[in-house]
This record gives sequence, C-alpha cells and structure tokens, in this order.
Amino acid sequence: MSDPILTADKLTVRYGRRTALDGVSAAFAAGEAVVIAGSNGAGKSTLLRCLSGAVIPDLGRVVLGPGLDQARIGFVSDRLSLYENWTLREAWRFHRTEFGIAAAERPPIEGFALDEGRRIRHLSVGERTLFHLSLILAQRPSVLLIDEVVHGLDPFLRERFLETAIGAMDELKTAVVMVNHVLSDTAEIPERVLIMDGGRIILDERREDLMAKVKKVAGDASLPPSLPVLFETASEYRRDRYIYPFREEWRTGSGAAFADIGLDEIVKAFIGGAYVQKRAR
Amino acid sequence: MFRKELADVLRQTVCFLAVVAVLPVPIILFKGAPGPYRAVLAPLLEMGLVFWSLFLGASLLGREQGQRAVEYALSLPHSRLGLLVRLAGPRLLVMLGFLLAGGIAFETGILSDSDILPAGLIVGIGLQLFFISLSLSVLIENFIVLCLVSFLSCFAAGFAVLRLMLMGYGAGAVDLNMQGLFAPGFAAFGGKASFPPILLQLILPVVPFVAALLFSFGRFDVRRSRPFKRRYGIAFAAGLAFCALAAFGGRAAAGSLGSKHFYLTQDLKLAEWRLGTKTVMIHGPGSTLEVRIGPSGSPLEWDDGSSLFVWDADDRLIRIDLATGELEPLYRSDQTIRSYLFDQKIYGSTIALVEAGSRRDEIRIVALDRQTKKADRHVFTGDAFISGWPQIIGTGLRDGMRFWICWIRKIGGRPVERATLRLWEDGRIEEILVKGRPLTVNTPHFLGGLLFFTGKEPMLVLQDTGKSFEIKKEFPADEIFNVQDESWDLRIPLDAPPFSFIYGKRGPRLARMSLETLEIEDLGAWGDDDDAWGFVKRHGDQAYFFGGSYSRKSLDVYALSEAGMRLIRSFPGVDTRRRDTRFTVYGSGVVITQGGRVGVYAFPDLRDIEYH
Repeated sequence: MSDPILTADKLTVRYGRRTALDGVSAAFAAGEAVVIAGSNGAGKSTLLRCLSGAVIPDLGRVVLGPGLDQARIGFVSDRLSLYENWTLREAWRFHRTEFGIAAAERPPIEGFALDEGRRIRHLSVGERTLFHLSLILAQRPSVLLIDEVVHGLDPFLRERFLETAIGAMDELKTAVVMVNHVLSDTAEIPERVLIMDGGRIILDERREDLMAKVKKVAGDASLPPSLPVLFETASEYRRDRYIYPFREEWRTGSGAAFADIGLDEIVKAFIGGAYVQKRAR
Repeated sequence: MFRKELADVLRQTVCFLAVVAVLPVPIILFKGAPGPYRAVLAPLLEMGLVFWSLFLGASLLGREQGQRAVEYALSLPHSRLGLLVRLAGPRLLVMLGFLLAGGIAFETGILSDSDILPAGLIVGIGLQLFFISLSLSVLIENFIVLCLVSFLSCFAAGFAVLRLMLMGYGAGAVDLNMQGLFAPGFAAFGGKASFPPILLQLILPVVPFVAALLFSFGRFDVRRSRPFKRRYGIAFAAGLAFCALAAFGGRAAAGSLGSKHFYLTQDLKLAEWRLGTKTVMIHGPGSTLEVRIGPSGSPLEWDDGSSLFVWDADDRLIRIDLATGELEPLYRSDQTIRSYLFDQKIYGSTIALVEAGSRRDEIRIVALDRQTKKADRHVFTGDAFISGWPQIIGTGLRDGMRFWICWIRKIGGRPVERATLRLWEDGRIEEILVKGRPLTVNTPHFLGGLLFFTGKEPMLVLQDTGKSFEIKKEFPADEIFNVQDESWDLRIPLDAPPFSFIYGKRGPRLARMSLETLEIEDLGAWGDDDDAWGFVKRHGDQAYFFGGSYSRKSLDVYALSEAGMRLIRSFPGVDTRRRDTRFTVYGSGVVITQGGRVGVYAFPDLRDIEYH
C-alpha cells in the first residue's frame, strides 16, 4: 500500500460498559475503495465516526496523512445528520462557509434536482442522502466515509449515488470507505474488504484475494475433516459449506466441487460464522 | 457558524424581549392596574434577565440536539475548542449586551428596581447562571433537568463561596434564601463596597464549571463518554479546589481587599472592621484595642457608651466591653427556624428585635434585657406580615402594657403596600387607619407620642387616645412638610427625651415644626442646587442639618436654632455618589471615608479627632 492518507491506530471506544471498538487498527490509501461489513453492533459505524472526528476514541488515535485536513474528510452518516430546520439553500451556504468551499454552486448530481427552498426535514431519506452527498462532494474530499445509506435508496438513486462516488474517486483520487451490508450492487467497487465482529477487524483482504480464498461446497458430499469450514447452512433440501482459506490443491483429491461465490455471499458467510462462534462461546 | 449562531441567538432574544414587553399589558388589563406599565415591566424584566441568561447557557447544544445535527457539527473542520468558541461566543456576547442594557436601564432609572433584588446583583446572578448552565449543557441532555441542576448549582456554589470567603470557617449556615444567600453582595452593591470582593463572589462560583468545560470539551463527542465525563469531573474538582483556596485566600486577604466599616461610639472611640475578618479594632485617643469576635456577619450596630453590640455570622448578638474588649454573648436567634432579623431598636435596657416567625404571616418581637439577658418573645400573626418588611418606629406603655408601633412595607408589591400597626405585648394587633383606610403613601414617624404621616400627600398628625389613634391635625394640600428627621436611626433609643421640634423640607426650604403647637416656621434654604440633598441629625438637644449637592460634591453642616441655620463646617470634595465614599452621622460625631482617607469629626463643632 502507498502511504496511508488516513490511519486508525489501536482505536478503542466504549459505550458505557459495552466495547464498540477494541484496539482497531487500519490504514486507508488515497484513491482506495474499501467496504466495511460485519454483523449488527460489530463497530463499523463507530469506526467511521472515529475517522470522521465525530467520536473521539477512548484510546488510540486517528492519524491524518500528509496534506489531509479535517475539511477534506467527508462523512455521510447513517443518521444523515444535518440541521433539519434549514432549507437546502441555508444548509449549502453554511456548509460552504464552514468548509471554505470556493464554488458558488453545489456540484450537481446527474438526474437529481431539488427545490432549494425546501426544508431538510421535508426531504425523503433518498433525497436527503443525495443532498448530503452533494454537500460532501463540494468539499472535494480526499476521504469519503459513507455509512450504510446506500440501501435506503431506490435503484435509480442508488445508481446515481454510486456513480457520483466513483466519479469522485476517479477525479479526486478520493479514498472511499463505505459501510455496507448489501453488496449486490456494489460488489465491483471495493478493492479491499474489512469485516468486523465484536469491535475487532476479523478480516482485512483485497477483494480479489478474498474471492479466491472463499469457496462454497453445495450438497452433502463428505469433506476431509482438515478442511476449514468457515460457515455451514443446512436445511431439509439444501446444505452449503463455506471454506476459508481455500487452497487450489484441494480441488483434486477431496472429491468436492468448490464453487466461486460473490462478495455478497462471502460477507454473509463471515457474518454467519461469527454468529456461530458467538453461540459456541 | 459564529455569525449564524449570533443571528439565531439575537432573533431569539428579540422574540423573548417582545414577549416580556407585551406581558404587562394583559396583567394591567385583567388583574387591575397595579401601576404604570414600566412598574409592571421592571420585575418581569428582572426575572427575565435571570431566566434568559440561564436559557442562553443551557441551549448551547440545543439546536444541534433538537435538529439531530450534533454529529454534523462535530464533523465540521474545527477543533473542539474552536467549535465551543463558535457556539458559546455569540451567546456570551448577546447575554453581556442584554445584561448590560438591563443594568443600565435600571441604574439610570429608565426602569426602577423592583424590590426583588438590586439590578447589579441580578446581572451577577445572570452571569453565573449563564456560565454554569453553559458548562452543564455538555453533560446533561434533558433541558428541564439541565435548567434545574444549573439553578441549584448556582445557589449551592454561591452559597459555598460565601461561606468560605465571607463568613469564616466554623460559622453556621446563613439563611438559605435570596436575601440571606446574597446578603454581603446585596450590601456590597447597595452600600458602595469595594469592587474586588464582589468580583470574587461573582467569579469564584463559576470557576469550577468553566474550568471543567474548557478542559473536557476537547474530548466531547456524540456519546458524552465516560473519559469525557471523567475529565470534566477532574477539572471540576481542580477548579473547586482552586475556588476554595481562592475563597480562603480572599477571606484572608479581606483585610486589604474588603472595604472598611467604621463605627463611632458615644465616647468617641472609633471601631474599625472589615467584611470577612474576625477582628474589630477599637481606636481610642492614644490607644488601640484589638478584639477577636469570630466571623462577623454584619457591620457594627450600636453602642450604649460602655459596650458595643455586634451580630456574628452565627446569629449571635455579642456585647463587646469597650474598656476591656471582653466579649459576652447576649442572645442567639431561634436556630430551628433560622429567623430572619428585620429590625432592632433599643429603649431603656431593652433591645427589641423583630424576627420572622415560623409562618409567613407571623413575626416575633423579642424584648431582650441587656442586663439580665432575659428574652421575652411576643408572636404576632396577620396577613400584613406576609412578604412584609416590618420596622419598629416607636414604643410606649398604656395601662401597664407595652406596645410597639410597627411600619410594614410589602416587598415586591406595585404600588408598594404599606401598613402601620400597633402591636400590643399580649399579641393583639391594632391597625392604625386614617379616615378608615390604611394610609399607603406617606411615611410614618412616631415622635413625642404623635404619629406623623409625611411624604407625597398632605401631612397628617395623629394622636394616641389610648384605644386608637385619631387625627390631631390635617394640613392643607398646599402645605407640604416632608419630615427629614432621622427618627428611623436604630442607634437613637426609642425612649429618647422628647424633642421640641421636628425638621423637614417645605418646598425648597428647611423648616421646623413645634411638637407643642404644630406650627411650622422657616429656617433657611435647603440648598441652591437642583440636586441638593439633606437631613437632620441630633447631638443631645442640638439639631444639625447636613446638606450637600451631588453636582458641587460638597457637604455642609449647620446648627439649627430659632435664629435659623448657622454653618458649622464645610467638607468640600465629598462626593457621596462615589462607591468608595461613606458618610455616617453618629450621636457623637461624623465619620467620612473617601478613597483611603478616613476623617472623624466630633460634635458639637465637628473638630477633627486623631487616632493612632
């Protein structure tokens, strides 16, 4: 990895007695697209909030890379936090002043236009998400943090949102760190996948490496007990076993058919595996 | 953000002021007209100053919380301290402007002080509430809880500082009410005390809160996390320790910071005392006696020639032997109900104390014998005592039964309600009516068995018939004689030998009235200036007129007799409007302090007295 533009260094965050982040470290490079997945309460949103500065870690620190300042970090939170009573025009003026944005006009999102006189609280979730994104993009961010907002959008707006984010990555070399559960639409975007559980990062892999390392065995074929089964689902009609880390030499000799699977299913396997481990404990 | 915040806070403040400005109208319309618009507005505005200061502080993060924008605000490209400045700065500016405007309006007389609290003190409380609620707003999200805790904290902190700084170490608690809590401040603002102790009183209570806010806000986030609260707590404790040290230090330094109070005894000894110190210095010709009396709660009160009487902070009345400096506790008020002392007067060997009772409609007169220390308590109950400020203006005996003439002024009423009562020692209350109604404008003076009501309305003289008071003389409307005789002075015994004349202001002239014939005769000009002031004091049988003018900054003393006014002495440069100037006339002479200079002048010719 090139020099990181943003680094989380042993972050620990507690909400009362519950530990949301437990010594999490991760580094993000310029222009890199990272997706963070994990079960509910795994600490994904807290990590993003720490990176954005909204949450100050109890231990550890967030290190900004050379040339990066807080004004170049854009954060679209799942709470879509903005002054709700303001009109879009007021919010834009305020945002422009606070972030020192020179442009008089907000960069448009193709196919998406809103009446500037409307109040933020009157926008739908989708409209609000795209408005928020347009504010953030006006900052010309070096880092874009997006927290589980994509699946709240209809297919049309979701496409607009993702295209805009990808456009920013191409033009500005923006590092995009996205928390997302549903990866069916976005599977091709991330170059790197982080999976979190219990306040820790349990997996940090490049997407291609990860897809090569996780395979599925469908059916009841017997498998050598030495094969690492990450997760298993079984019903009356169907049985799937997910193998991780997979080695190519196992294709011959084990008698099982190892199938490639998508990122969406890989993430599901990891989350399912984490739940099983938790139950076992 | 600063400008946006400033605009918002200004808009809110203007709306608030508009509501306060309109509020008197329905009160006047529907509740009857208790007074002119400005008189109704004044107390509303005073309370408004306090509550708006509290609101401005408490709403530091109110908009962010109300509009779910805390996270957005925290992700703005500002350090936490920068964010705090942007949020709190506009509030502080508006609040200072608001308090300043209010203070000026009250000080300049555009609005007159209601009797709730002096305007200066309201500004002080407003500032304290602002900083305390501002600080606590980062800890407490619930607005109502926040306001309540801020209010209580303000009182607790102010109370603690006062106890530490002004009342001394072992002193018992003072009354936990507005008057008791802020009594020294109250006296200080009204009584021209020096500025540093007041500043300490105002600043110290908020130090822990401000320190905690500044130190911890760097770690403030959406969680209000435990480490953040820990930092707040540590900083608060450190601030508290500093505050306590400063308060002790302030108390220790009161000798140099606090304003001096002087008392001139009947035999021309000068007692010197400073607010917060435990020592009274009694200067005599060629000698000084140092008396340690413990923390004192109020300036020296009066003497009887051989003893000086003083109240300590534990509500003990103490007699100081002027010759030996020995102390003798005479009386302590009922500690179970923490009786408030309204007034005290002496006659014969008795000290009459007017205390609050255990109920709102109750007062007690304690007749304390100075020789035997025996205290007879007389309880009086009536609606007149509710929110009233009773003062004894006379006493007498009828058919072997003692009575006290008591004048009551209602606190906070507009117009000010007044009543004059005769309180019999068996508990009976006799309301003194004039033509069947209580006289509510003129002020009563009880002199030589006659009750004079003088002031804005034509004077009335009532005579005691034994069962009631009846009109002896009613002066015509154009004969205004406003008594300026200081019969209220607690140092003058109620049973002082009867005077032949009383003195008053008749138009621009000084005049006297014979108590025998009730005829008024002119004595001379009251003063040449529009802002002339004056009053009459006595030394034995001889009456003196003390007159001056604010613009000329002068004080002239005249001896009064049939021949008119004879100038005894002039004191040029005495500016009684200056905060560091005090001028008090005692039975034996006059004490004038201005700046650091103290002058003592003895009757009858006001010659200078020198002390070590």
